[in-house]
Amino acid sequence: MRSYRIFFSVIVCLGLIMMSCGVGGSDNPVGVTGGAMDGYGVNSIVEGSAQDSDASGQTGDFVGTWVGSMDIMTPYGFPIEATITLTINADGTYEMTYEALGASETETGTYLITGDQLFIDGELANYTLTGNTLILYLEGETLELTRVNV
Amino acid sequence: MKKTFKATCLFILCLVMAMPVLATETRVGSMGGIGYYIRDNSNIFYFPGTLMQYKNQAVAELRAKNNDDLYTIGFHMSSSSSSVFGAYLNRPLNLPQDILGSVTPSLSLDRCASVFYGGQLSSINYGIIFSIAMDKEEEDTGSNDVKESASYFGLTAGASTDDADLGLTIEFPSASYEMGSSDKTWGGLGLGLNGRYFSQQTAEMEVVLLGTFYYGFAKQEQGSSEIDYTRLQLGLGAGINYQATKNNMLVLALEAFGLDMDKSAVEDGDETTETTTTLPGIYIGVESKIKPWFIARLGARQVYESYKEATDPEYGDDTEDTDFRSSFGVTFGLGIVMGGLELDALFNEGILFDGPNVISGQTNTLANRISLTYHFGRKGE
Repeated sequence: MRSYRIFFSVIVCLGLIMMSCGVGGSDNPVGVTGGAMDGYGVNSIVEGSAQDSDASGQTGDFVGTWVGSMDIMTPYGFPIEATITLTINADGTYEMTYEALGASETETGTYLITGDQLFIDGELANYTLTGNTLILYLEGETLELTRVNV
Repeated sequence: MKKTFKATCLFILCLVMAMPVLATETRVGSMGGIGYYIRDNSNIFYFPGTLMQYKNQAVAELRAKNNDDLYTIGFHMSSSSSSVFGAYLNRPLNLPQDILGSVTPSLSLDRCASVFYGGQLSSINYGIIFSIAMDKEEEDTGSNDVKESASYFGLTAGASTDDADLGLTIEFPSASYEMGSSDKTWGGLGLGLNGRYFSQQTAEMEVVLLGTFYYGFAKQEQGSSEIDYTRLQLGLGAGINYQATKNNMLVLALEAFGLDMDKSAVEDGDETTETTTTLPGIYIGVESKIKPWFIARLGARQVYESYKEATDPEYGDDTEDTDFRSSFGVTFGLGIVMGGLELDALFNEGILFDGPNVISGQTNTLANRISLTYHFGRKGE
């Protein structure tokens, strides 16, 4: 009987302590030695599931959907403004859609980020990334993109 | 004195008989993620010396509904009284998938197969686990052949006594991509070391001291461009396993210090370091055997941490951004024992709020995660 009392007193006390500490966001609710759904921590060798690990490194900063516009040259020799939607995925793939005059074209491929350069299927662009603004410098052209979705 | 000693021995025996068969990732996950701090069959991947404690069983970890990719199946067979061997298929791997994806986009190196062997030398149990994963793709696009390949080799060895466990892991992941004359490669080495010590304080209470360490580095090369990646993890914690009664167990764990650091450095270029420091993490798990065939579990975790992102660009000023954050989570679990079969479930508490479909019209799954363990040779199966 005494054991039960101690047992439940400890639980109640701990509950109160934890509630009084307050809670914050849930960006990463996992510690190094515990708290993960697989029973261990973020350093788990058994499981590194998406919910347990940070999108680390530079790639994580780029992941999302970006929208911008730039002039592209038509086959008839005059430029038109095209809306560009670039989706960068965490798995190293991207999808880029050009829309102009009611028509659209989509290309997909892989990308690689090294330092301040972005390789997209062989194309190389310098970039600057500030918050939700990504500027790509492409052979004299500048493409400013705004992140619309993570 | 003799009577007290006998009673103590009997009590300890009762505790040992009551709980040791209960095990799996779902079990320790539904108890707040306290796997490092208690004895459980999922410990084997961190402390292979514990393999001898889990003979003659088949284990299925079903981590998400109807998703075979996230299922793991394994078996433990006892070849003699002092050895055990077995295998696990489709075990998840903890590799940086975002980096791997940028090197070999058509491949995934996130699952491995493992074989293991455990034995006994005098009073020390030992175990060794060998893990392997491979993937390859070749595509002839006409103008250029695209070749992608990725592989992983891991070796974990450990030794255990009645009150201490030690495990050492070494792993070699690599990936390469070739298109025509251009190529990119990624590969490196990881080292992990885990240790824990159990100290029996009273017949009901055991203190656990834990230390975990991991260091990994990898190099990515594409033409003249090189990036070095480094990962460092360190965890120090202590826990209490309190067996309140024969059928009720409380586990309290405190992660006093946790460090998880990722660094990427471009040769002659930018350097980025992300550091997450846990100060502290509190984990609580309760396991109650309500009926001989029915177990209820409750878990909670409260993690306080600081997250710092520091950049050292090739040009311009260094930047540093630090966030302090905390998070809280509660988990519920159920266990059902039927002869030699155990079913552990991470219970979806949403069904208690919404009610069953006939009342709420909501489609709630009963469980978010399930583990099955079948024990060969147990009485009653």
